[in-house]
Amino acid sequence: MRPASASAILRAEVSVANPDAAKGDSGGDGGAAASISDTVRDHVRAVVGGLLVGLPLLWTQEMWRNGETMHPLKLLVLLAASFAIVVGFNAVSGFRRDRSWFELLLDSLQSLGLSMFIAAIVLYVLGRIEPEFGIATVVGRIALLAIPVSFGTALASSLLSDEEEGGGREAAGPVGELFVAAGGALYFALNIAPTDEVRLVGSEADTPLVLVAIAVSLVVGFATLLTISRAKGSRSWFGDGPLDGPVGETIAAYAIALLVSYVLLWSFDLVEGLGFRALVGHVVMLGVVAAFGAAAARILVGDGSDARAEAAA
Amino acid sequence: MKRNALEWAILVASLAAIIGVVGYLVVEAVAEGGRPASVGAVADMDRGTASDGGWLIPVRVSNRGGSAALSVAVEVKAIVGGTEEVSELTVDVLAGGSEVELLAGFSGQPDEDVDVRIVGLETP
Repeated sequence: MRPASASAILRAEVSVANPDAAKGDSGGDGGAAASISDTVRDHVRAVVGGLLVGLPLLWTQEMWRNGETMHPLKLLVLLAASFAIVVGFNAVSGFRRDRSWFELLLDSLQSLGLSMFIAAIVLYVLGRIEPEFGIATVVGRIALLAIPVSFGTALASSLLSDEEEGGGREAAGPVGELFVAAGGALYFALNIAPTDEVRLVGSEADTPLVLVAIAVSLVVGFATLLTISRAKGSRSWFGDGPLDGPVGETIAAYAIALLVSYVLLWSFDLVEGLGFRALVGHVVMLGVVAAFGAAAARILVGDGSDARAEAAA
Repeated sequence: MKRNALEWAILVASLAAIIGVVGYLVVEAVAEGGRPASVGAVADMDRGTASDGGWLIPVRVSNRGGSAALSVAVEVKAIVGGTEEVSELTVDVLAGGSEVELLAGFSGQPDEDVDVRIVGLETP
Protein backbone atom coordinates (compact mmCIF):
# COMPACT_ATOMS: atom_id res chain seq x y z
CA MET A 1 0.00 0.00 0.00
CA ARG A 2 1.35 3.40 -0.79
CA PRO A 3 1.63 5.95 2.01
CA ALA A 4 -1.53 7.67 3.05
CA SER A 5 -1.75 10.94 1.22
CA ALA A 6 -3.94 13.80 0.57
CA SER A 7 -7.39 14.29 0.74
CA ALA A 8 -10.07 14.30 -0.85
CA ILE A 9 -11.66 14.07 -3.97
CA LEU A 10 -10.01 11.29 -5.65
CA ARG A 11 -8.05 8.46 -4.52
CA ALA A 12 -8.10 5.03 -3.15
CA GLU A 13 -6.22 2.39 -1.39
CA VAL A 14 -8.25 0.09 0.78
CA SER A 15 -11.58 -1.18 -0.38
CA VAL A 16 -14.55 0.60 1.07
CA ALA A 17 -16.29 -2.69 0.85
CA ASN A 18 -14.05 -3.58 3.78
CA PRO A 19 -14.06 -0.44 5.91
CA ASP A 20 -12.73 -2.22 8.97
CA ALA A 21 -9.39 -2.48 7.22
CA ALA A 22 -9.06 1.27 7.38
CA LYS A 23 -10.24 1.89 10.92
CA GLY A 24 -6.83 2.67 12.25
CA ASP A 25 -6.14 5.32 9.69
CA SER A 26 -9.25 7.34 9.39
CA GLY A 27 -11.23 10.12 10.87
CA GLY A 28 -8.28 12.27 11.61
CA ASP A 29 -6.97 10.24 14.54
CA GLY A 30 -4.01 8.65 12.88
CA GLY A 31 -1.64 8.80 9.94
CA ALA A 32 0.01 11.80 8.37
CA ALA A 33 -1.92 14.82 7.25
CA ALA A 34 -2.09 15.42 3.53
CA SER A 35 0.15 18.09 2.13
CA ILE A 36 -1.38 21.34 0.97
CA SER A 37 -0.11 20.76 -2.56
CA ASP A 38 -1.82 17.36 -2.68
CA THR A 39 -5.04 18.90 -1.41
CA VAL A 40 -4.87 21.64 -4.02
CA ARG A 41 -4.16 19.12 -6.79
CA ASP A 42 -7.03 16.88 -5.74
CA HIS A 43 -9.52 19.72 -5.55
CA VAL A 44 -8.42 21.19 -8.87
CA ARG A 45 -9.02 17.75 -10.33
CA ALA A 46 -12.44 17.62 -8.69
CA VAL A 47 -13.35 21.04 -10.10
CA VAL A 48 -12.24 19.96 -13.58
CA GLY A 49 -14.27 16.75 -13.26
CA GLY A 50 -17.30 18.71 -12.13
CA LEU A 51 -17.02 21.13 -15.03
CA LEU A 52 -16.39 18.32 -17.51
CA VAL A 53 -19.64 16.64 -16.58
CA GLY A 54 -21.72 19.62 -15.53
CA LEU A 55 -20.83 22.38 -17.97
CA PRO A 56 -23.26 21.37 -20.75
CA LEU A 57 -26.19 21.54 -18.33
CA LEU A 58 -24.89 24.72 -16.72
CA TRP A 59 -25.31 26.23 -20.20
CA THR A 60 -28.85 24.93 -20.70
CA GLN A 61 -31.76 27.37 -20.58
CA GLU A 62 -34.28 24.72 -19.56
CA MET A 63 -32.21 23.98 -16.48
CA TRP A 64 -32.10 27.66 -15.50
CA ARG A 65 -35.84 27.89 -15.96
CA ASN A 66 -36.58 24.74 -13.99
CA GLY A 67 -34.27 25.81 -11.21
CA GLU A 68 -36.39 28.92 -10.98
CA THR A 69 -39.81 27.28 -11.13
CA MET A 70 -39.36 23.83 -9.57
CA HIS A 71 -41.15 23.32 -6.26
CA PRO A 72 -38.68 23.29 -3.33
CA LEU A 73 -39.85 19.83 -2.26
CA LYS A 74 -38.99 18.39 -5.67
CA LEU A 75 -35.57 20.03 -5.57
CA LEU A 76 -34.99 18.46 -2.16
CA VAL A 77 -35.99 15.02 -3.49
CA LEU A 78 -33.59 15.37 -6.43
CA LEU A 79 -30.78 16.58 -4.17
CA ALA A 80 -31.33 13.67 -1.77
CA ALA A 81 -31.31 11.13 -4.60
CA SER A 82 -28.22 12.72 -6.08
CA PHE A 83 -26.42 12.70 -2.75
CA ALA A 84 -27.11 8.98 -2.38
CA ILE A 85 -25.64 8.45 -5.84
CA VAL A 86 -22.61 10.60 -5.00
CA VAL A 87 -21.99 8.44 -1.93
CA GLY A 88 -22.19 5.39 -4.18
CA PHE A 89 -19.84 6.94 -6.75
CA ASN A 90 -17.34 7.87 -4.04
CA ALA A 91 -17.50 4.37 -2.61
CA VAL A 92 -16.84 2.85 -6.02
CA SER A 93 -14.47 5.27 -7.66
CA GLY A 94 -13.81 8.48 -5.82
CA PHE A 95 -12.00 9.72 -2.80
CA ARG A 96 -9.43 7.95 -0.76
CA ARG A 97 -9.77 4.33 0.22
CA ASP A 98 -8.24 4.66 3.67
CA ARG A 99 -11.36 5.84 5.36
CA SER A 100 -14.28 4.74 7.44
CA TRP A 101 -17.89 5.06 6.37
CA PHE A 102 -18.00 8.32 8.33
CA GLU A 103 -15.12 9.63 6.26
CA LEU A 104 -16.91 8.47 3.11
CA LEU A 105 -19.94 10.48 4.21
CA LEU A 106 -17.81 13.57 4.86
CA ASP A 107 -16.08 13.20 1.49
CA SER A 108 -19.46 12.94 -0.23
CA LEU A 109 -20.75 16.03 1.57
CA GLN A 110 -17.58 17.78 0.45
CA SER A 111 -18.27 16.74 -3.16
CA LEU A 112 -21.80 18.11 -3.00
CA GLY A 113 -20.83 21.34 -1.26
CA LEU A 114 -17.95 21.94 -3.65
CA SER A 115 -20.34 21.35 -6.53
CA MET A 116 -22.67 24.04 -5.20
CA PHE A 117 -19.79 26.51 -5.23
CA ILE A 118 -18.81 25.46 -8.77
CA ALA A 119 -22.40 25.78 -10.01
CA ALA A 120 -22.79 29.17 -8.32
CA ILE A 121 -19.58 30.56 -9.80
CA VAL A 122 -20.35 29.37 -13.34
CA LEU A 123 -23.95 30.62 -13.16
CA TYR A 124 -22.69 33.99 -11.91
CA VAL A 125 -20.12 34.20 -14.71
CA LEU A 126 -22.90 33.43 -17.21
CA GLY A 127 -25.09 36.14 -15.66
CA ARG A 128 -27.70 33.57 -14.57
CA ILE A 129 -27.66 34.49 -10.88
CA GLU A 130 -27.64 38.02 -9.59
CA PRO A 131 -28.91 39.54 -6.35
CA GLU A 132 -31.91 41.18 -8.03
CA PHE A 133 -33.16 37.81 -9.31
CA GLY A 134 -34.37 36.99 -5.78
CA ILE A 135 -33.11 34.32 -3.42
CA ALA A 136 -35.60 31.71 -4.66
CA THR A 137 -34.18 31.88 -8.17
CA VAL A 138 -30.57 31.93 -7.02
CA VAL A 139 -30.91 28.99 -4.60
CA GLY A 140 -33.11 26.98 -6.98
CA ARG A 141 -30.67 27.28 -9.87
CA ILE A 142 -27.66 26.44 -7.70
CA ALA A 143 -29.42 23.44 -6.17
CA LEU A 144 -30.51 21.99 -9.52
CA LEU A 145 -27.26 22.63 -11.39
CA ALA A 146 -25.10 21.33 -8.55
CA ILE A 147 -26.49 17.86 -9.24
CA PRO A 148 -24.67 17.08 -12.51
CA VAL A 149 -21.58 18.90 -11.26
CA SER A 150 -21.51 16.69 -8.16
CA PHE A 151 -21.43 13.59 -10.33
CA GLY A 152 -18.33 14.99 -12.04
CA THR A 153 -16.54 15.81 -8.79
CA ALA A 154 -17.29 12.36 -7.41
CA LEU A 155 -16.16 10.64 -10.61
CA ALA A 156 -13.04 12.75 -11.08
CA SER A 157 -10.75 9.98 -9.85
CA SER A 158 -11.99 7.59 -12.51
CA LEU A 159 -12.03 10.19 -15.24
CA LEU A 160 -8.86 12.12 -14.53
CA SER A 161 -6.39 10.25 -12.34
CA ASP A 162 -3.82 7.70 -13.27
CA GLU A 163 -2.94 4.38 -11.69
CA GLU A 164 0.26 5.69 -10.12
CA GLU A 165 -1.78 8.17 -8.13
CA GLY A 166 -4.00 5.41 -6.92
CA GLY A 167 -7.04 6.61 -8.74
CA GLY A 168 -9.26 3.97 -10.05
CA ARG A 169 -11.98 1.65 -9.14
CA GLU A 170 -13.01 -0.37 -6.25
CA ALA A 171 -14.96 -3.57 -5.95
CA ALA A 172 -18.47 -2.26 -5.84
CA GLY A 173 -20.65 -5.29 -5.29
CA PRO A 174 -24.08 -5.61 -6.83
CA VAL A 175 -25.61 -2.76 -4.83
CA GLY A 176 -22.70 -0.43 -5.59
CA GLU A 177 -23.00 -1.26 -9.26
CA LEU A 178 -26.66 -0.33 -9.16
CA PHE A 179 -25.66 3.02 -7.62
CA VAL A 180 -23.37 3.52 -10.60
CA ALA A 181 -26.22 2.61 -12.95
CA ALA A 182 -28.57 5.01 -11.17
CA GLY A 183 -26.04 7.81 -11.42
CA GLY A 184 -25.54 7.26 -15.14
CA ALA A 185 -29.27 7.05 -15.71
CA LEU A 186 -29.91 10.24 -13.75
CA TYR A 187 -27.15 12.19 -15.48
CA PHE A 188 -28.10 11.18 -19.02
CA ALA A 189 -31.85 11.58 -18.48
CA LEU A 190 -31.27 14.93 -16.75
CA ASN A 191 -29.91 16.22 -20.04
CA ILE A 192 -33.17 15.34 -21.79
CA ALA A 193 -35.94 15.57 -19.21
CA PRO A 194 -36.34 19.38 -19.18
CA THR A 195 -36.72 19.66 -22.95
CA ASP A 196 -39.99 19.95 -24.86
CA GLU A 197 -39.06 16.89 -26.88
CA VAL A 198 -39.85 14.60 -23.95
CA ARG A 199 -43.52 15.61 -24.00
CA LEU A 200 -43.60 15.37 -27.79
CA VAL A 201 -41.99 11.93 -28.04
CA GLY A 202 -43.83 10.56 -25.02
CA SER A 203 -47.20 11.71 -26.30
CA GLU A 204 -46.73 10.41 -29.83
CA ALA A 205 -45.33 6.99 -28.91
CA ASP A 206 -47.93 4.31 -29.69
CA THR A 207 -47.95 0.87 -28.09
CA PRO A 208 -45.74 -0.90 -30.68
CA LEU A 209 -43.16 1.87 -30.43
CA VAL A 210 -43.20 1.70 -26.65
CA LEU A 211 -42.58 -2.05 -26.84
CA VAL A 212 -39.72 -1.52 -29.28
CA ALA A 213 -38.24 1.10 -26.94
CA ILE A 214 -38.38 -1.35 -24.03
CA ALA A 215 -36.70 -4.04 -26.14
CA VAL A 216 -33.96 -1.70 -27.33
CA SER A 217 -33.29 -0.47 -23.79
CA LEU A 218 -32.97 -4.02 -22.49
CA VAL A 219 -30.77 -5.16 -25.37
CA VAL A 220 -28.37 -2.21 -24.96
CA GLY A 221 -28.14 -2.82 -21.22
CA PHE A 222 -27.70 -6.55 -21.61
CA ALA A 223 -25.02 -6.19 -24.31
CA THR A 224 -23.08 -3.79 -22.09
CA LEU A 225 -23.27 -5.97 -19.02
CA LEU A 226 -22.47 -9.09 -21.02
CA THR A 227 -19.35 -7.38 -22.38
CA ILE A 228 -18.24 -6.43 -18.87
CA SER A 229 -19.01 -9.94 -17.64
CA ARG A 230 -16.94 -11.48 -20.44
CA ALA A 231 -14.06 -9.11 -19.63
CA LYS A 232 -14.13 -10.47 -16.09
CA GLY A 233 -13.83 -13.98 -17.46
CA SER A 234 -17.34 -15.10 -16.68
CA ARG A 235 -19.20 -17.08 -19.31
CA SER A 236 -22.47 -17.37 -17.42
CA TRP A 237 -25.54 -15.24 -18.02
CA PHE A 238 -26.68 -15.82 -14.46
CA GLY A 239 -24.87 -15.30 -11.16
CA ASP A 240 -25.21 -16.59 -7.65
CA GLY A 241 -27.68 -13.95 -6.55
CA PRO A 242 -30.61 -12.19 -8.21
CA LEU A 243 -28.45 -9.12 -8.91
CA ASP A 244 -25.47 -11.10 -10.19
CA GLY A 245 -24.87 -11.95 -13.83
CA PRO A 246 -25.85 -9.99 -16.94
CA VAL A 247 -29.49 -11.06 -16.93
CA GLY A 248 -30.23 -10.09 -13.33
CA GLU A 249 -28.22 -6.90 -13.54
CA THR A 250 -29.91 -5.86 -16.79
CA ILE A 251 -33.37 -6.23 -15.29
CA ALA A 252 -32.39 -4.40 -12.11
CA ALA A 253 -30.64 -1.60 -14.00
CA TYR A 254 -33.63 -1.13 -16.32
CA ALA A 255 -35.99 -0.96 -13.36
CA ILE A 256 -33.76 1.76 -11.89
CA ALA A 257 -33.69 3.58 -15.23
CA LEU A 258 -37.51 3.62 -15.34
CA LEU A 259 -37.66 4.82 -11.73
CA VAL A 260 -35.18 7.60 -12.48
CA SER A 261 -37.24 8.56 -15.54
CA TYR A 262 -40.42 8.81 -13.50
CA VAL A 263 -38.76 10.86 -10.74
CA LEU A 264 -37.36 13.31 -13.30
CA LEU A 265 -40.69 13.61 -15.13
CA TRP A 266 -42.38 14.26 -11.79
CA SER A 267 -39.73 16.79 -10.82
CA PHE A 268 -40.12 18.72 -14.07
CA ASP A 269 -43.93 18.75 -13.80
CA LEU A 270 -44.40 16.48 -16.80
CA VAL A 271 -46.65 13.83 -15.26
CA GLU A 272 -49.52 16.03 -14.11
CA GLY A 273 -52.60 15.54 -16.22
CA LEU A 274 -51.26 12.49 -18.04
CA GLY A 275 -53.40 9.37 -18.33
CA PHE A 276 -51.83 6.03 -17.43
CA ARG A 277 -51.12 5.09 -21.05
CA ALA A 278 -49.46 8.44 -21.77
CA LEU A 279 -47.51 8.23 -18.51
CA VAL A 280 -46.11 4.83 -19.50
CA GLY A 281 -45.15 6.25 -22.90
CA HIS A 282 -43.30 9.18 -21.31
CA VAL A 283 -41.48 7.01 -18.76
CA VAL A 284 -40.45 4.35 -21.28
CA MET A 285 -39.27 6.82 -23.93
CA LEU A 286 -37.20 8.81 -21.43
CA GLY A 287 -36.15 5.41 -20.10
CA VAL A 288 -34.32 4.73 -23.36
CA VAL A 289 -31.91 7.53 -22.49
CA ALA A 290 -31.76 6.55 -18.84
CA ALA A 291 -31.05 2.91 -19.67
CA PHE A 292 -28.26 3.92 -22.02
CA GLY A 293 -26.85 6.18 -19.30
CA ALA A 294 -26.97 3.33 -16.81
CA ALA A 295 -25.05 1.11 -19.22
CA ALA A 296 -22.57 3.81 -20.20
CA ALA A 297 -21.81 4.58 -16.56
CA ARG A 298 -20.89 0.95 -15.98
CA ILE A 299 -18.30 1.24 -18.72
CA LEU A 300 -17.01 4.70 -17.80
CA VAL A 301 -16.95 4.26 -14.04
CA GLY A 302 -16.15 0.60 -14.04
CA ASP A 303 -17.53 -2.29 -12.16
CA GLY A 304 -14.76 -3.06 -9.78
CA SER A 305 -13.30 -5.87 -11.80
CA ASP A 306 -9.83 -4.35 -11.55
CA ALA A 307 -10.01 -4.20 -7.81
CA ARG A 308 -11.38 -7.71 -7.63
CA ALA A 309 -8.57 -9.01 -9.76
CA GLU A 310 -6.02 -7.23 -7.56
CA ALA A 311 -7.67 -8.58 -4.44
CA ALA A 312 -7.64 -12.09 -5.86
CA ALA A 313 -3.95 -11.73 -6.72
CA MET B 1 -5.66 9.98 7.65
CA LYS B 2 -5.63 13.48 9.10
CA ARG B 3 -7.11 16.37 7.21
CA ASN B 4 -4.94 19.41 6.85
CA ALA B 5 -6.15 22.94 7.50
CA LEU B 6 -7.10 23.53 3.88
CA GLU B 7 -9.19 20.36 3.76
CA TRP B 8 -10.98 21.32 6.95
CA ALA B 9 -11.67 24.77 5.53
CA ILE B 10 -13.11 23.27 2.34
CA LEU B 11 -15.19 20.79 4.31
CA VAL B 12 -16.61 23.51 6.57
CA ALA B 13 -17.38 25.72 3.57
CA SER B 14 -19.04 22.79 1.81
CA LEU B 15 -21.19 21.97 4.83
CA ALA B 16 -22.17 25.63 5.13
CA ALA B 17 -23.22 25.70 1.46
CA ILE B 18 -25.29 22.53 1.83
CA ILE B 19 -26.92 23.71 5.04
CA GLY B 20 -27.73 27.05 3.45
CA VAL B 21 -29.23 25.63 0.26
CA VAL B 22 -31.06 22.71 1.86
CA GLY B 23 -32.20 24.81 4.81
CA TYR B 24 -33.66 27.44 2.52
CA LEU B 25 -35.43 24.81 0.39
CA VAL B 26 -36.90 23.13 3.48
CA VAL B 27 -38.22 26.45 4.78
CA GLU B 28 -39.62 27.25 1.35
CA ALA B 29 -41.21 23.81 1.00
CA VAL B 30 -42.87 24.06 4.40
CA ALA B 31 -43.80 27.71 4.56
CA GLU B 32 -43.72 29.32 1.17
CA GLY B 33 -43.77 26.75 -1.59
CA GLY B 34 -47.47 26.10 -1.20
CA ARG B 35 -48.44 29.73 -1.65
CA PRO B 36 -49.67 30.44 -5.16
CA ALA B 37 -48.10 33.09 -7.36
CA SER B 38 -49.20 36.63 -6.51
CA VAL B 39 -48.21 38.92 -9.34
CA GLY B 40 -48.50 42.68 -9.47
CA ALA B 41 -47.13 45.49 -11.62
CA VAL B 42 -46.51 49.18 -11.08
CA ALA B 43 -45.28 51.92 -13.41
CA ASP B 44 -42.70 54.49 -12.36
CA MET B 45 -43.82 57.63 -14.20
CA ASP B 46 -41.03 59.75 -12.67
CA ARG B 47 -38.38 57.68 -14.44
CA GLY B 48 -39.98 57.92 -17.87
CA THR B 49 -37.51 58.89 -20.58
CA ALA B 50 -37.67 60.00 -24.17
CA SER B 51 -36.65 57.40 -26.66
CA ASP B 52 -36.12 57.51 -30.39
CA GLY B 53 -39.52 58.81 -31.54
CA GLY B 54 -41.36 57.95 -28.36
CA TRP B 55 -41.46 57.65 -24.57
CA LEU B 56 -40.42 54.75 -22.32
CA ILE B 57 -41.85 54.14 -18.86
CA PRO B 58 -40.29 51.59 -16.44
CA VAL B 59 -42.77 48.97 -15.20
CA ARG B 60 -41.81 46.72 -12.28
CA VAL B 61 -43.50 43.33 -12.26
CA SER B 62 -43.22 41.41 -8.99
CA ASN B 63 -44.32 38.04 -7.66
CA ARG B 64 -44.96 38.08 -3.90
CA GLY B 65 -46.23 34.50 -3.87
CA GLY B 66 -44.30 31.31 -3.21
CA SER B 67 -44.80 29.66 -6.61
CA ALA B 68 -43.42 30.84 -9.92
CA ALA B 69 -45.56 32.51 -12.58
CA LEU B 70 -45.00 31.85 -16.29
CA SER B 71 -45.87 33.88 -19.36
CA VAL B 72 -47.02 36.87 -17.32
CA ALA B 73 -48.83 39.26 -19.65
CA VAL B 74 -48.92 42.93 -18.60
CA GLU B 75 -51.03 45.60 -20.26
CA VAL B 76 -50.09 49.26 -19.90
CA LYS B 77 -52.62 51.88 -21.08
CA ALA B 78 -51.79 55.55 -21.50
CA ILE B 79 -53.44 58.65 -22.97
CA VAL B 80 -51.01 60.33 -25.34
CA GLY B 81 -52.20 63.54 -27.02
CA GLY B 82 -55.80 62.65 -26.16
CA THR B 83 -55.58 59.22 -27.75
CA GLU B 84 -55.45 55.93 -25.82
CA GLU B 85 -52.41 53.75 -26.51
CA VAL B 86 -51.74 50.23 -25.22
CA SER B 87 -48.32 48.68 -24.62
CA GLU B 88 -48.22 44.92 -24.01
CA LEU B 89 -45.36 43.31 -22.09
CA THR B 90 -44.58 39.66 -21.33
CA VAL B 91 -42.41 38.04 -18.65
CA ASP B 92 -41.49 34.43 -19.49
CA VAL B 93 -40.65 33.30 -15.95
CA LEU B 94 -41.15 35.13 -12.65
CA ALA B 95 -40.04 33.10 -9.63
CA GLY B 96 -41.71 33.47 -6.25
CA GLY B 97 -40.36 36.46 -4.33
CA SER B 98 -38.70 38.02 -7.36
CA GLU B 99 -39.32 41.03 -9.55
CA VAL B 100 -38.24 42.31 -12.92
CA GLU B 101 -38.26 45.72 -14.62
CA LEU B 102 -39.53 46.22 -18.16
CA LEU B 103 -40.04 49.29 -20.33
CA ALA B 104 -43.43 50.17 -21.79
CA GLY B 105 -43.19 52.20 -24.98
CA PHE B 106 -45.56 54.93 -26.24
CA SER B 107 -45.52 57.39 -29.14
CA GLY B 108 -45.02 60.31 -26.74
CA GLN B 109 -45.09 61.38 -23.11
CA PRO B 110 -48.46 60.33 -21.57
CA ASP B 111 -50.85 63.10 -20.56
CA GLU B 112 -51.46 61.47 -17.15
CA ASP B 113 -50.58 58.40 -15.07
CA VAL B 114 -50.72 55.16 -17.01
CA ASP B 115 -53.01 52.25 -16.14
CA VAL B 116 -51.13 48.99 -15.49
CA ARG B 117 -52.69 45.56 -15.01
CA ILE B 118 -51.87 41.88 -15.23
CA VAL B 119 -54.01 40.33 -17.96
CA GLY B 120 -52.85 36.72 -17.73
CA LEU B 121 -50.27 34.21 -16.51
CA GLU B 122 -49.56 30.49 -16.28
CA THR B 123 -48.64 28.48 -13.20
CA PRO B 124 -46.09 25.67 -13.54
